[in-house]
This record gives sequence, C-alpha cells and structure tokens, in this order.
Amino acid sequence: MPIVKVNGIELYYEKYGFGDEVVLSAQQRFSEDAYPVKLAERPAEYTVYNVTLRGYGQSTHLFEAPAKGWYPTWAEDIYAFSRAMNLDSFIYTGVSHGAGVGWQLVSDFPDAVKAFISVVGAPHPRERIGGVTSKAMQRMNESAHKPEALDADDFPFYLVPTTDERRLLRRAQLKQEFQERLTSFSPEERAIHPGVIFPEARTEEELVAILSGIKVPTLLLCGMFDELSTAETAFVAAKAIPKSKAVFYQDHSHTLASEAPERLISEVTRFIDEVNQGLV
Amino acid sequence: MPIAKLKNVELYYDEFGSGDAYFIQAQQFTNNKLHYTIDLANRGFHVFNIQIRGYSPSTLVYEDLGEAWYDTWAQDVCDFADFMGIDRFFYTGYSHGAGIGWHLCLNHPERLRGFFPIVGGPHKKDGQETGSARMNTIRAAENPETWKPYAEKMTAANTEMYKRIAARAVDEEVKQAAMAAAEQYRNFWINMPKESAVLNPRKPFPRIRTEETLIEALRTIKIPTLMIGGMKDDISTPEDMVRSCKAVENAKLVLYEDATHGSLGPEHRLEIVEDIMQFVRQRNLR
Repeated sequence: MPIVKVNGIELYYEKYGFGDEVVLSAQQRFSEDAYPVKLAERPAEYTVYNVTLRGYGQSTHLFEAPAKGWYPTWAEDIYAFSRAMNLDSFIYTGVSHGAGVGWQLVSDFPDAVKAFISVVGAPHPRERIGGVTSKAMQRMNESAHKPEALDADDFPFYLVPTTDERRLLRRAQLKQEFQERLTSFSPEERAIHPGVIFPEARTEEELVAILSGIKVPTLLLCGMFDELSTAETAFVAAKAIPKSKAVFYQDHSHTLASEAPERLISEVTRFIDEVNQGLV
Repeated sequence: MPIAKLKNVELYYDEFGSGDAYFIQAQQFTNNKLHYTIDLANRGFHVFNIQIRGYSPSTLVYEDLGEAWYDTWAQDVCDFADFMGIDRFFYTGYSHGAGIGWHLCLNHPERLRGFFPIVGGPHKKDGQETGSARMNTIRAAENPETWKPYAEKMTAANTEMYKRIAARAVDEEVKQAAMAAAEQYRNFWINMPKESAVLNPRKPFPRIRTEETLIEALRTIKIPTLMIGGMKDDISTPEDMVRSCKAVENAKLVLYEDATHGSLGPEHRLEIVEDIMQFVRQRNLR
C-alpha cells in the first residue's frame, strides 16, 4: 500500500502517469475516475499524485481537530509530501475542500507551487466563519454521534437540468459513490469539520487582502449554479488574485468535476501551457 | 478598397482566410494589422471584419436612429452575409460590436452558429440611456477645439500599450504589426468626422428598461455563447458579464484579472483565439 510518513502521520496516495509535469491533488477520498486521474492520460500525460488527506480513508485518522486547524495542517502535509517525493515544485489542483487545501498551500508555501487550479472551491463567504460551511457538512458532522442524521438518499448538491445522456450516467455514478462513501465513513471521519478557508480574515476586505497577495498563477473553474462554492465567491477571489483567470460554466454546479472532466482537462492543459510560455 | 454595396448602405470590410467556416465581426473600427480575428483566419476561419454604417469609409449617417441603431447594424450584418452568399456564420464583436451580436441573437438567431462577445456586457440597465464612455466622446465632438485633445488622449494609452506589445514580441512581423495597428487606431480617431463622433447608439437593447427584463431576454438565447472579459473593465463590467452568463443557456464566461476594456483584445489576443478555438471544438460547432 503506497504510504508516506510525514509530520508524524501516514498519508495514503496513488500515483498515475510518468510525465514531466507533476500534479498533486488532495481530497477526503478519490474515486477511480476522479478528474485528476485523467490528467495522467492523453492528452495531458502528467504525473499525478492523489493524496488522501489526514483524517480520512487509509491515511492516519485523528480523533480531535489539529491545533492549527484543518486546512493549515493539510497544507503542511501536502508540502511535506512533495518534499518526501523530491519535488521542487508542483501543480496543485483540488475540488471543493481539496481546493481549500490549495488556497492554504499558495498562501503558506508559494515557492513550491508552480500553478494552482481551484475547482468549485473558492474561499467561503465570511459569514460562514464559526458556523455552518454547508448543510452537507453539517449533516455529516451530526451523523458522527447520530447516524440517522445522515440520509444517504439525500444528495445535497443542486444539479443543473440536462438531457445529456453522458452527464446523466455520470450523475448516477456520482450518487452511488456518494452513498457508498457516506455509509463507509467512520465516526471520526464524519466528525471532521474543516471550517472556512482563511478564518483569520474576518471581513471580505481582509479576505481580499490575503488573496491579492497570492503570487502563484491561479485558474478558477466554477459552476455558475454552484450553491456550495458560489459563483459570487469565485468572482471575489478571481478579481483579487493578480493575473488570475476564471472560467464560469452556465450549465454546471458543484458537480462540475464529476460531470465534465473533459472540459476541466482542456482548461488545465491550456493554462499550464500558458504558464510555461510565460503568458501568466 | 473592398466595399459591399448593399441595398441602402455601403459597408467597408476586410477579408481574411478562406473556406466556408465564416466568422463575421462588425465594429466602428478594427485594425487590419494585429487582431484576434486575423489569427482566427490563420486557424481556418474565413473572416469578414465589417465597418458599421456611420463610420467612414462605410456610409455616414446624418440622422439619429434613436433606439434603432443596434437593430440596424444587426440587420446590416445579415444583409452583408446575404451579399456574400453566407447563410450561417459565427459572430464576434468587441464592446459595441458585441452589442450588435446580442441583437443578432434576438433578431436573427437562425443565422448564428456561435456568438463570441468580447468585453460585451450588455451594459447594466441602471437608468442611464447611454454609457458614460460614449457620452464623453459625444461631448468632446461638439467642439473641434475639444475633439483633437480628446482623440489624442483617447489614443495615447492605446499607442503605449501597442509599444509594450511590440517590445515584448519576439517576431519582427508582430512588432511591426503592433506599431502599425496603433497608428491605424490613432488615425481613425483623430480624423473621425463629427457626424460619426456624435453618433449615439444608446446601450444595447435600448427598449429594455430594467435588469429583470434584460435577463428575461437573455434567457431566450439558445446560441452557443462564449463571453470573454476583463476584471478591470469599468465600461463593460465583469459583474455585467456574470449576469449575462448566468442567463444565457449553456454559456461560458472567461475572465482575465489583469485586463481592462481596452487592453483585453490586444494584450490577450492569443488567449482569446485559444478560448474561441477550444469552445468551437468542445461544442462540436464545426
């Protein structure tokens, strides 16, 4: 089993591909056909490391929140992982909370990150500090002590109406994976509440100040009808980060990465090409 | 000089590329030296850049068409396409040129294969009939003594931008094209006849008075639409573009943080071309 020991814990990871460009991505868990996996395939053919975050799956579980907070701790883990793999710099991409790890990385370890691609994961609006970051997360946390709080049949993401058969098939797969994941989570996994990204920024102005200091080339990929990581929050971030690029899809929501991985791959490879050409 | 003599108007145009994948753009002015539409022609499109009526060397207009400017320009684009024997085409426009595209979407959707508004709002329905940038031009044109300094000021930043583009360019042809583009733009503005400078088309969809009604109109659009804009655009604001993208079915919006209303096209020329090519490919539009 591929495990790396860093920062006193074990991180489970999967490696895909052998290309010169190296991508790290971190999540609670990855499905076998998660969008970063496709970056190892043609046409991108990158080397991809999918790392399971501490607290989840086959990585070390925690029974209380880290003193520094989840996102700073996860970012330290990913940075340490990159050192353990002898990577001078890497591309980081993450979906939703995985993107949250990326925001912390580009803030805390900017020299290690060549480029950052945030997928449906812009920093939360400040009114969520200390409160509920999403109803899905709230129900998950409650279920740690009260299993009936979690209804596996209740899919907590808005889905944009579509007649596209491929998307409908992917939705069915996503729902099934979501249900399987929920039922397989241990109580300590369910109890994890990562909170908001950059909780030290108490106001939107303070958040913008942090974001405007980001020097890493940043691409934001967003679903216009994402009610968890909204288009409005992505807009605030994209407007603040120097030389960033943001792409909004009218026909997508928080499930963008699962329903349209080809679009994301196309955007990522283009963006990396532009970074390599010095255009970003 | 290429002129299309239509039934009630003459339109100057530039043509690039060949084939039957047509791209039409209509503007008050487009340089024919260094422009994303020229790059699109190099990528396999047959491009026509039309100079709209009201701006020389196309037919000048001496009356105010009131709320009918954009509808008239959109009809001219279709008449031009008929003249060229073009049935359906891709349309792109920059700023007011994008405004013509929005009117094409509502008035002549059957002609469009795809729509690419660049810094194209449409403007917010804030009760102001005409945008402030356009009003500045109209006021400056009322007196010859104010026009020259205004036109010089208008074009100075553009010239500096093209100088930077030329300085960065590795290719000698691009350097020369950039400087020639700046000179063309300056000449257009300095020599603009008063009747062109005072032309007031209002904002796109002038008969629509509120944001709610505008959004309802945008929701009826079924044309594959890719919007591209700049976060630092204070004329066609990124907020306007987000509103539009949210309303137009299956639309896509790309925003560049470092781009203004005037800089996006020249400074992000190659990215715009790639954005358009990617969209056409992904949506199977060719």
